[in-house]
Amino acid sequence: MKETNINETALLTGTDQRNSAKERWSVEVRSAAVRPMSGRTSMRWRLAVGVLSLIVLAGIGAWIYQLKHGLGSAGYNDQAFWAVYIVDVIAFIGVSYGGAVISAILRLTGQSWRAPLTRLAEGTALVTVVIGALFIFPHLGRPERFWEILVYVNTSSPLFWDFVAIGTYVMATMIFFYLPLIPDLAIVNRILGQEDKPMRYRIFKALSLRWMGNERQRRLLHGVMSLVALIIVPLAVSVHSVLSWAFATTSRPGWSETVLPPYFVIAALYSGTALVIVVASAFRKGYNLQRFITKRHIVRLGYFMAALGLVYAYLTLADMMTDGYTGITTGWISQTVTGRYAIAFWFYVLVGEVLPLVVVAVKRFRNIPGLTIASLGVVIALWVKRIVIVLPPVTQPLIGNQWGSYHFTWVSLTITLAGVAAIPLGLMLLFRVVPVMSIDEMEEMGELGSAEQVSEHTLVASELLSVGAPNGNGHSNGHGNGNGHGNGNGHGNGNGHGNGNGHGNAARVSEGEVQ
Amino acid sequence: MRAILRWLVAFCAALASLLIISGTAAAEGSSALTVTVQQLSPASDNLTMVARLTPAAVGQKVTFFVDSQEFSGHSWMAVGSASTNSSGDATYTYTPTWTGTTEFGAAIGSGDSIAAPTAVESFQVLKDPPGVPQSAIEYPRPMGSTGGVLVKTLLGIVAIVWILLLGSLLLVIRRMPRLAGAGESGHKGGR
Amino acid sequence: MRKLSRNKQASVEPNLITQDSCASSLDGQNCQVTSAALAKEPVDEGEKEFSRRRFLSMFGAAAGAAAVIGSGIELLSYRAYAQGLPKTNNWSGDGGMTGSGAADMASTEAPPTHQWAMVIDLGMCNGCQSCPAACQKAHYLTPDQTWMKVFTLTDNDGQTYSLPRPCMQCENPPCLHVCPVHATFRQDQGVVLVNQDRCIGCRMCMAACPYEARYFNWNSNVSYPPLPVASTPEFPVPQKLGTVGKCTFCVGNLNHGLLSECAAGCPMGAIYNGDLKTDVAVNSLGSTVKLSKFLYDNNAVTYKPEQNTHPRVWYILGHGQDLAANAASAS
Repeated sequence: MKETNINETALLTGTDQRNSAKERWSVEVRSAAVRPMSGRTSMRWRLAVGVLSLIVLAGIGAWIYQLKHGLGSAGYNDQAFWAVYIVDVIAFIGVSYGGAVISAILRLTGQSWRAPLTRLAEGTALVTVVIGALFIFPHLGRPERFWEILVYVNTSSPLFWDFVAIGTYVMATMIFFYLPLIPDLAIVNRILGQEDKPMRYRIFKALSLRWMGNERQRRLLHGVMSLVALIIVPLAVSVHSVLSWAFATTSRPGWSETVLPPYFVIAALYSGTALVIVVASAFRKGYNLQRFITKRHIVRLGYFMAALGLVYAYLTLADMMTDGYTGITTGWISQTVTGRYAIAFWFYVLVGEVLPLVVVAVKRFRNIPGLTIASLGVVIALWVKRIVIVLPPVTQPLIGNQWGSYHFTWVSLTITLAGVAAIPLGLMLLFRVVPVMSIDEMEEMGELGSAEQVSEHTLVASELLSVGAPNGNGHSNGHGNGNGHGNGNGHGNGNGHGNGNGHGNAARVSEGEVQ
Repeated sequence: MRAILRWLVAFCAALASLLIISGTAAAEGSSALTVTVQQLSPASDNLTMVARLTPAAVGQKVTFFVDSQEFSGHSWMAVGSASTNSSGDATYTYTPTWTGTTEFGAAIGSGDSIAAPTAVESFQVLKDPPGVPQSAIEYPRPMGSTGGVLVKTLLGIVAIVWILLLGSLLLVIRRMPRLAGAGESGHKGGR
Repeated sequence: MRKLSRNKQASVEPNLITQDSCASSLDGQNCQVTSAALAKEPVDEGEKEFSRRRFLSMFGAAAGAAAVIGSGIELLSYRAYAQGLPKTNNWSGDGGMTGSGAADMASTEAPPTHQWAMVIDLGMCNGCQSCPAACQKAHYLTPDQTWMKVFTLTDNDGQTYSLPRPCMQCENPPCLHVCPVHATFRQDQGVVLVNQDRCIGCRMCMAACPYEARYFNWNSNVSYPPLPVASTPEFPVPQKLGTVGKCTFCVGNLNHGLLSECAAGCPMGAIYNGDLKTDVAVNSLGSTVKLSKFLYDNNAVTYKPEQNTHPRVWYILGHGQDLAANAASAS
């Protein structure tokens, strides 16, 4: 894919020469992670970035058109006053929570197989949360007055708390992306040197905070990262709850539901997990990461996604059951299930629930292509589902029985598509600047993360549910690899023991404890 | 023209500084109706409107009017009705809702067909009128009683989250470079 | 002495007066109360609240940071704010208006002499659509923007009837609570208005309003004739693109002794403009009624009382129809 100008000795700088298996692994990891950052980009990469940039520019152009002609050009009217842009805000910020929470949960539970996925998940979280937050601007009629929320504060407004929550979450996501990056920045500088891009070298040098990878630095970084991961999970839950209360605190049937906060949170995690699968398999193929991101990773994420999908289906039923049974406010339900939103709703049921469950359940489909297609379906279906959550209660008449309607226009579609295109664009640009995998963690976790022969079924159960000691086989003092001081390190390859032994998590945790 | 007349009446009323002013109205048919307005005491909110029918007749319905000056002025507003007693007096207690000189009136009969009084009396209302209840002016916001505490608690939680996040970032930025040297020397010492 | 707003302009054509009333809102007494308060910021009140409770000392450093964030924030202090008002003999408060100018206003301005209300007699309404037409003409609204809208509803017994729906001018307005920038406010005469120079166009108020009484300015292709005065919350013409608009009760008209456009335009006299303070209501036929008595005698109801909004618009049911029935039958 890309021309590489990394030589083997540069990759090996500072690694322990005696541990040959570990050393080979390290070389592979480093070359795969650093290759997209160095040298000239491939034709394909440039073409993709060019096309995606054009779509994003078209979206910006459409937004300027909308600013000039008003929100009516995006299909809005008084009986459809909230529509596609608020859906985009929810959907994009939602997938971001998925990425962040997956990474945080896997970190907190000490899942060593997370290593090749964390950077992708955190990067997805970062890119999508920025896009989602930006979608607030086309949503507003007067975006240039946005600053007023900070000046003319009304604490009884749900939107004020939305602003506080999203702002907090964006900052947390950035910190959560930066902290695990610190060791990698130092490693990248060591591998690529000053000559490649002097500017980047200087910036990375400043940002890597003189990371040497010694024991005390590691302890500090792991401690702080555990804290941030611990904060980000309840933060993600609360933020999407607050977002849902912008709907649930109104008196509109269909929105004024107690189930809405968990409904939104689960939808976010579900679609977020699906997007992580899509991103992981796309970068696996596009950036030649097949050696590291394996079927096992995708299938595990697939199980996680399927479990969330079932919870979401349950909440969808719970949402409709009470109103539907009492029959007091059934308009939005009948319109959803059989009326004008029926196609969208049943599309969600088929593509967003049935398809992923079938793919995960049937062994023949439970592979990378199958799960990728299913996940892509989930991401799209969950966007459609948000339309079904937003539009029926908006367009329902509160007086009389004249339903309103919303029609997509080229403006709203272009802006939404620009947001969609901005995800791969942002990720490709991001991983041109930072390593696509967490090199340090990959080396720390060893090759375990890609041990294909490990039984999926037993591992999933034990690893997803185990709340093992954080970093169970993690940063015990032997793991000085990646810095210049690993030489005197007698038991430096604790991970190596786990290489292919297939005993799963418990065995490794106990090893870590012994050490 | 009407306004000037009314101000004149008001001026006379003030000059006399009387609480009670009586006036007579045109007789209707054989019987005559007189209306009197009294403020029971300076402290009272209420006025008493008395319509006297001469000759006295018991059980006659009398409708009382107030001259509303709202919305482009003068129009008679029926405020209530009462029946005459044995001395021919019908009494109605009225709570004025504005101050200033106002015309009060009465007419025999009741129902929608009685649109204007036959006897009119001008009276200067001095007492501040009772208001719309404060609850109609000020409503507590959602969760008004607990909301203040809730907001402070929530803002406190947000502040703690920000302090923790930024603090940990700051800790890493400040401590990490220092530990680099410490780790090096430690390793060297171990050799 | 109460100075009644005796109208000097009674002979002028209504449309011109509407504009004129806002021209004089810059110097007119009642309007100035509103516009003076509009310029005030809610900041001081929140700060006072904070220091009074000695919040800082109670919660320590973390809460101190919260106070830094929260200082200058008007908390949920609707009630606390009311308690801080200067004690006056009568009811005249600063309404729901968010502003610290109450004390200044009390010293320089007379207390508001009106609390506007409306009564709609459904028995008299024949659904002729004159009221929305008059409203749209006076405010240069687009055909979609039915600040006053006549719904044709079906009663439980299958009969249809017409329901004119202005803004209910709720005493407990949901739209006011959810506005993130205080662009919606309740002025001292109980009228809920929108400051279109403040509105960010988030449409949260449209979501919160149970009466669908709010209308957005979606399109830029609305043309206005040259107007002598700038847009004000009382008379938001021309309206601003990307902001929300709603029925203003024609409060400028009312303060000049005129009926609102919808009431004046009603040939049946079904719409009464009322004043809770003077307890008077008047319709276009010149029928003047004692408001409280009129409501009591006719068993007047408010629309959607279960929403706890406390509307200032009352309905008199023509043939005892159930207003709640039509809301639920929406399907």
